[in-house]
Amino acid sequence: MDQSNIMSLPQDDRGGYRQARGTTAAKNRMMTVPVLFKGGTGLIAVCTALFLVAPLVGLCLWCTVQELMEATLSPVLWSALKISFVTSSISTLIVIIFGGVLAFVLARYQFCGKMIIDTLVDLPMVLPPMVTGIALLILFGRNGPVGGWLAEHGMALTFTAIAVVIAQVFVALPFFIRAARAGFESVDRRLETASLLLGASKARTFIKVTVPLVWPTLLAGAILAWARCLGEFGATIVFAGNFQGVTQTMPLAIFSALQDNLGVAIALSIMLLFTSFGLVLLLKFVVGSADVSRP
Amino acid sequence: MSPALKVTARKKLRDFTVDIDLHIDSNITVMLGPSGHGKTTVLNMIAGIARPDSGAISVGDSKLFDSRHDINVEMEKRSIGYVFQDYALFPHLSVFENVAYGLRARRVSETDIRTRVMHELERLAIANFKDEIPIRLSAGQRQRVALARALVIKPCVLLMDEPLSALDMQLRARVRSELKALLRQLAVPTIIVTHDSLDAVSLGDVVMVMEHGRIVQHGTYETLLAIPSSQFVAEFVESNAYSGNVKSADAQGGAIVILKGGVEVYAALEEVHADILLVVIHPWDVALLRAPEMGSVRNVLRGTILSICPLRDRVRVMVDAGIQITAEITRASQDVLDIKEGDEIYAGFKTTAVRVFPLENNHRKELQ
Repeated sequence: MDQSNIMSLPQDDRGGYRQARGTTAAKNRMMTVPVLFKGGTGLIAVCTALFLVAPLVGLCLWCTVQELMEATLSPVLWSALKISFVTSSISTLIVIIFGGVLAFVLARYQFCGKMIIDTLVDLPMVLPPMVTGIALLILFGRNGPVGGWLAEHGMALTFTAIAVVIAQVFVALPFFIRAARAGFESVDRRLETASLLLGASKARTFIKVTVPLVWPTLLAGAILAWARCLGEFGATIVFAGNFQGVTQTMPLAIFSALQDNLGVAIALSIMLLFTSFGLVLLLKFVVGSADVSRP
Repeated sequence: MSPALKVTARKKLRDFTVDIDLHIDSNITVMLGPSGHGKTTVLNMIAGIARPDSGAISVGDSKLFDSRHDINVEMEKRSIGYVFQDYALFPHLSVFENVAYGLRARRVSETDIRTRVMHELERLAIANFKDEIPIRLSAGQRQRVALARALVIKPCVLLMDEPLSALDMQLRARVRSELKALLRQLAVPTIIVTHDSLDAVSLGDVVMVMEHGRIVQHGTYETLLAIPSSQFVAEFVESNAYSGNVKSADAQGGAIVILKGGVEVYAALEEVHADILLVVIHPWDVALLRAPEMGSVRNVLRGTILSICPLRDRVRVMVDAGIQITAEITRASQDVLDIKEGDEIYAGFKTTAVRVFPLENNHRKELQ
């Protein structure tokens, strides 16, 4: 029998796949530079990037330093910033915990109606936020089935900070679920089996093996979710209202400012822009350093 | 003396049923067979990854599985050392932490972990890499980490799934002999699954040949070579195997045997078999000749060289002479013959080199 033939057979599906994927990735990395700048491709890429950046640069140039200083001193800004960060942080945390569980179930279990749940999970992404707000208002409003019951027990949700969180969780969930699900699906199940065979319990295996391996994906999903929470407007204004100091998040404050003072609105926008940018940049660094599986 | 592993298990797979009855003492058993014949399933049933449809698995006095008493110990409680085909090292943990993993799960004290892990790393000569992450290691080093990780928990059984298949050719021979030396010291019942008969020759005390989920023969490699129970076994232990029948025989035991394919060979029969025979000619009994009159052997077949394949210090040459026959010759004789693929060549072998067995003889399976 020809020995060299035996050697060249694919040794197992996963290993072979991973190897193949690795080499293509390496090849892509090498080929990116020459291919991108050949012909019109480079021009298109530059134009697209410009299109994304130009409005933001314009925004920054429109505003004078004085206006910016003025806006910084405004109490509206600080209360809105505070509400935005507190609510979006809480929302992101809720999204990670509950979305994580659902993502894990969707990634690992086969059950009846999985397709339907799958589609429903993605729905908030394509739903206009205003529609989301109305739907939440109907469910949790004073006359709604859940809201009504809560009102009877002395709890009103609408037009409170809790409503802000509910709206944010609703719109941000699919972003996290999608990422986390892809992460859980990508984990080599044999690593988990190896952990179990070494005597680790299922919970320990999850914490020590599964989570560290999907950590970068989970973090990326969490960033997206957080960004979505920070920018949430439509559902919030319908469901939670626009009350300064209670439910007025940054986007709502910008909306209010826009009605009487464009300068303040622009200044607030710049504030939000930079904080969001800084946040995403910071988390990207964290993700980059957390991705241990790369050499 | 480690406790014996007993496995009686049936599990239906898509194309066939794995049906085995094993008893393994503290030695190295190699399960040999082509891919997709249920070898890994056997390992998975022992480890608890796959559940048998029925049967019982026990190590010494402790039962791991018993379908009649509804016992099925979970894999995290079986204490079985398992080395995966591509080692399945934790990519996010250092070599040290990979090896320490099983001990941490058992809540062993930090000082004990240090001693035991370092002892294992030193034994496998990988202590220098203890802080590396697996991706930076060579395949050979990874295998040792996987082995260290499996051994440090003092498993009652060690299972290895194609331990050498992730290594390249040059490394294989070395790792194989190192592995053999190591496993000899351990005295843990070990099952190694492989599709490479070379692994079986060098690693196993006992070789089991598996075909379609059943062990078709079980014995030392020498037994398998000398008295293969079927063409499948003979071919898998890499001998020339043919079916044929006796054309004529004389009183002295000399006979002409027609092989499937119409080629006639002279054989020395101890008794005359009337039915279909299994004819085995070992590759090292076959000489290659440039001209038919050069040898003193009775059987000379003319053919062309299909392939030339180096094998350790020897060379395997496959010849198409109406039947495909493989000759194993030394490198020196390869140089003398100066052969290349496509050359015309004569394959010569003595009448005594033609080993004849009645085909489908079941009692031979019992031989060991």
